[in-house]
Amino acid sequence: MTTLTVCIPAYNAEADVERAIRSVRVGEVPGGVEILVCDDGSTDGTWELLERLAGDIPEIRLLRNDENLGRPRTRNVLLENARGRFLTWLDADDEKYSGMLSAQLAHLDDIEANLGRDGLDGVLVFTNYHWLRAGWDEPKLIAPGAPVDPMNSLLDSSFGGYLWLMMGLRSTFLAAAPFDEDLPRLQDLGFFIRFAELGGRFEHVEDESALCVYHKEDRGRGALLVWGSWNRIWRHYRHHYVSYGMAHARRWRRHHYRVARRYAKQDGDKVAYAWILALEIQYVIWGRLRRLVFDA
Amino acid sequence: MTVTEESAHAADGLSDHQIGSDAMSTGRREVDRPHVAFAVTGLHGVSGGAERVLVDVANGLFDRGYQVSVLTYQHRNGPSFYPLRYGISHLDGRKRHARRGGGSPLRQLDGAAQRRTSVGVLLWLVQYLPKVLRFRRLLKISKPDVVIGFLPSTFPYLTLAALGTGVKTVASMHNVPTRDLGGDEQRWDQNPVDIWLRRRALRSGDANTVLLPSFAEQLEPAARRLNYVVPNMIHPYSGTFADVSTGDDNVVLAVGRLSPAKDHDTLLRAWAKVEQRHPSWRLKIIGDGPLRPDLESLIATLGLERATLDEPTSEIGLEYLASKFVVMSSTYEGFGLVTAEAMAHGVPVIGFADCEGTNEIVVDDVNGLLVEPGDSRSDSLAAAMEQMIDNESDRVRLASGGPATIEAFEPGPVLDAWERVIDDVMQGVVGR
Repeated sequence: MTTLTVCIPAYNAEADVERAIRSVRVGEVPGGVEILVCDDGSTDGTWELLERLAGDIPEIRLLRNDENLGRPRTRNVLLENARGRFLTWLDADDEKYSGMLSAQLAHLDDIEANLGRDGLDGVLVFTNYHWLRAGWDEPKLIAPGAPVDPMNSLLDSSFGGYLWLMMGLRSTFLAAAPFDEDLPRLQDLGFFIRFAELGGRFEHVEDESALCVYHKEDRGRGALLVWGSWNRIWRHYRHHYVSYGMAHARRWRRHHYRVARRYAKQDGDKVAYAWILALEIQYVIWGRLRRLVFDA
Repeated sequence: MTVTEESAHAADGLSDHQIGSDAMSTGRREVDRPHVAFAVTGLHGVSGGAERVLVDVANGLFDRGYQVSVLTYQHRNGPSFYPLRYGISHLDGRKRHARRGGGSPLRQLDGAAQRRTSVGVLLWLVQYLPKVLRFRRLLKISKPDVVIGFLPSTFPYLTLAALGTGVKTVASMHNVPTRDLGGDEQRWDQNPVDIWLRRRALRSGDANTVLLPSFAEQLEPAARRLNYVVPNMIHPYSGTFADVSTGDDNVVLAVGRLSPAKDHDTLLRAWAKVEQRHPSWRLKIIGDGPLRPDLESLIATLGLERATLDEPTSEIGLEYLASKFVVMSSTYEGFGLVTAEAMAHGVPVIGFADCEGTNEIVVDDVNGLLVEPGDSRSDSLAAAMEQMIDNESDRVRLASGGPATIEAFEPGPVLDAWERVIDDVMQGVVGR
């Protein structure tokens, strides 16, 4: 069986996807790697580029959506088609450094040697990463710690890991699947909360250096899309938020408003900013009133 | 190949067409197996016996292909002390987290609640209505086919919470039923309304379980009709059995929480009568609890030289293997997990004939000794210990009788018993 599948969703990624694919060091994976790329109905030359690359790199396997289905559905397509024992992710605008795959595989092998096959169930192994914004001279090192209580650190937004940092058994990803197809943003968070609900945990590789890079683009993020996504997560997982106590839940919920407002500010979208601020004020006032009534 | 390996490999080897999005959303559990939820007050940082059993059973059923959820109602949420398999979803329902220090001021009304029904009803509503509603919410979110409530702190509320949801309920008791149903003033709420609902839940739920056959007889007929005996599960032991023949250093072992129910007081007084005559023997008590200072001073008062109070260990199996016999001085046991585990390791057990739990596992002169308490519990216990120490060949014979006794408590038969309860409940044939 193939040892590892690297899943790459690509949509109109003509400019970046080759850099991403070539950053997968095939030689670091004993037993063979499969680079599974799904073109999500791109309208630029992404598909032609991918076909050309597939002729060049034998590890590439291509999938194509007839129309643009969005990232969560593309991820689900990738998951359904992956064949590797282990699985990891890469977005078209990101890059893995050399040593990332081998460090993650070594960590997983360690777990299996110490705890046996069952020890691998529900473990996702991640690394530190670089954050590089266009125009920056130097990348910034981001080092998320491995959380003791994954659910807690996801709900309070203290865990800074993304899906493309994670490697684990394919069955581990499948158990927490599918990705929520109605989440335009925050799909990683939605997936991770489900993963934590099932008892999943994150482990950090030994290596403390950055092993990949996130090319952050300064394009509009769509504050209202972000806001809608936070709402969906809150509605869907509200019971997890309140299970840590109402005081925490309310504080963590406030954070959602703040992030959405920040995006609105970045986008210069004054209407969205005012709208979210108004909702936030309402939320705070309601909270105070409720506390007055119930804690009296 | 074990069941775990099979399911793991099955997951590894799934071919493409098997992984539809339906299968993905249910975590690829077997479709024909019902979704079973277990409910207990808390699992985060709780290392009790019932919690361990719950996790063992939940993991066991998960490995057999059931979709499993765990519902808790804990004032501090977090990961389970005993690890649950990845794939078992854990939902906690408690919104209101206890303030630091001190119990609820409502406790002061307990006395009034016992005298006046109206106060009792009011107090019950204030204390437990949120719990019922939150459990109802969790049932609606996780949508199990059947929910199994462990201990009186969950099942009365689950039976109410499940009304009209279509979720079947099973009440699972893990202690002597008369104690669970109001007979123990130290444990569970003494509010008559709560006790009444507890008894009612045993009749109005879809089934109930007790740990040992004699416990079923304590239930009223309507509840007994719905009853199943499902013993606790002990961890299987497959190594070589303990060598209980007399050696240079002979350990008499007692394992249990240092609490009044375990009656270590009697054990130490009995040991005082034995110690001087048997210089190569020592008493090792493993456990922690509120009575530690009292027991330490009792050891000093009695002038015991070879009696120790050791901290609990995660390697309890090694302690059984290093002992010659185990003494259970308890006045009652909900099940007798220690007794069963000692026997699994090939160690004979001395217990009291009037101790519920112990007296169903220890068979006198087959796998241990059952002591009639007589006029003085400590005198009777001392005599039995003396007999066990002196007769090496008897001790070896009794040790060999243990493992067969506890076969019914091994994971296979216990999980089979749970599956039978679940099957009967799902088919609606309980009590027929």
